[in-house]
Amino acid sequence: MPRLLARLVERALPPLAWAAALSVPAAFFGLLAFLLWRGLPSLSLALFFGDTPPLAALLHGAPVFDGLWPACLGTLYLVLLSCCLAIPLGIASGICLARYATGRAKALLDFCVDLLAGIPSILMGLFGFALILLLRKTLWPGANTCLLLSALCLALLVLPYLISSTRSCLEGLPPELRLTGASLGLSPWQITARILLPAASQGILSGVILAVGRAAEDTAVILLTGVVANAGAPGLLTDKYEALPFHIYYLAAEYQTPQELSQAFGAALVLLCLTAALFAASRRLQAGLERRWKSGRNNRNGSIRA
Amino acid sequence: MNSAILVEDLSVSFAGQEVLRGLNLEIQAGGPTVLVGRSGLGKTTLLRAVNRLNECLPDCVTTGRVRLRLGGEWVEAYGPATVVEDLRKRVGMVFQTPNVLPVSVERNIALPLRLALGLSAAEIEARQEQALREARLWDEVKDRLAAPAQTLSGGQQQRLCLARALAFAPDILLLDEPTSSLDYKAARGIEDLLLELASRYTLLVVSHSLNQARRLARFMFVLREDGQVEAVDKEALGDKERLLTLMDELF
Ligand SMILES: Nc1ncnc2c1ncn2[C@@H]1O[C@H](COP(=O)(O)OP(=O)(O)OP(=O)(O)O)[C@@H](O)[C@H]1O
Ligand SMILES: [Mg+2]
Repeated sequence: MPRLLARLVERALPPLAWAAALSVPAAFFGLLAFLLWRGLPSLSLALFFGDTPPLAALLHGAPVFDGLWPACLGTLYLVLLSCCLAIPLGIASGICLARYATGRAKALLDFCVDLLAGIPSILMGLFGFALILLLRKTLWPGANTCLLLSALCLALLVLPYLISSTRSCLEGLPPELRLTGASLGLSPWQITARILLPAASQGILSGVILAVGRAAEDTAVILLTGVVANAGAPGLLTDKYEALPFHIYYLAAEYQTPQELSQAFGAALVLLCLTAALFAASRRLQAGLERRWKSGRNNRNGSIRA
Repeated sequence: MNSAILVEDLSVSFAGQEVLRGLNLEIQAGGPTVLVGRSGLGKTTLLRAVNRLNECLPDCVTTGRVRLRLGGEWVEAYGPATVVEDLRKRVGMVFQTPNVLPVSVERNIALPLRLALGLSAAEIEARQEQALREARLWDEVKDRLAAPAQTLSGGQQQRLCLARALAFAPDILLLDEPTSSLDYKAARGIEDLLLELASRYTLLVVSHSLNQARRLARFMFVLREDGQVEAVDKEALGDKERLLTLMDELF
């Protein structure tokens, strides 16, 4: 009887595994189709720029009142800014955990990273909000929620992804690589920066992609730290700003007409495209860096950089 | 005599397990000096003690004294004033298993030269070709210098590692079974090269093959079970029968 059961399991396992694996692309394409169906009809220049002439908005910064353009810019700035803050810090922490920290210090750091990864994003938003309150009472009475604050809180939110991916990739490299570098008279820093990090760049990229995606979609953090429905294109780092996820949330929650709801779907589609473009850009950057590292040439037939 | 490496009272242990115990050894300049011994006794560990690579391994403790003659001067390998990176640039090592970097063939030589020695691109290119020619690899790879080094065969990778070490123009070369992945003829080619290089470098070679040891060795040492080395005297080296009986005793 147990043998029959075992054979049954044996038989059933492959189809079940396939079904589980296929459910991912099925969900993705289902979602995409739904978004396209609802969002595509609303896509037009007017969705982006409202009544403002597009060229005037693009070239001369004419204010856009009734379109997605300021929110697109806001999200782009937000993602770039928080990644600029989080990527160097995350990679550096990953290096520290993988190469330098040992024993109890490592365990403690590890615990902190896990803890940070477990913090809900609304808490991160509250933290930013409380920080501003504190600043107002102490050093900086004029402090207010703004783009920079949101970027800071988002950076904190995505930091664990970067740390974990850098760390696990560095630890997954063959130990001979480090030994080889040392035997060739390279300094520990040269080994890390010029051998190990480039060799791990593919894995680090996946952490960066996760971070970019998370920073682009998060609404809870920015809700409490500076996003508003109407701010125009972002100016200073200390200004309020608009962002796509908040725009979608706002439209979907408060729409008056069916057109406004379909605008929300259009905005969702735009957010998806924006994130995909950022993914593609980081992938290209990494591929270029890796090719340069592997061949010492800037392009396929370029000069030797050695 | 003209010695190049002096090892005094060297002990190396991994996680409390002693591998080498109070080892004394004097290696002559040039050579080749061949080191033989049973597998797992610590030949690789001894080579790594010379370029201080053991300290890159976890839980390794080294005591004792190693002096090397680099550029005409004696250097205290484990001395506090010694910069370990400078030492390793002058003491090349070819690993037992080929350890190419995951980059292109030419970059395998160019990247370390550039990082460690800071040479110009022109100088690197010149050294690269010369080293590849010396390692008998140039004809096989000259058309695929930009290919990933992992696409080379095992033997080719081993010669690439040899070329990389040669490109540094070191004073001392440590070779851990440099022909283990090569066929008979290619191995003979490398042996000829090593005999030729012995006029320029000090060579310390680990070998598993008695025949190879006989062809190569100007000096020979056997690593014993107790973590010490024993010199094989000159007459025994020339006499195949005596060498065989000696080996039988030791292995
Ligand atoms: N990184 C390490 N950590 C722990 N023990 C090690 C390490 N490297 C070597 N050892 C131990 O040291 C001893 C000697 O190893 P070594 O590699 O020097 O032997 P070997 O003489 O080169 O052997 P072979 O001829 O098989 O290459 C072995 O018992 C091995 O288990
Ligand atoms: Mg060995």
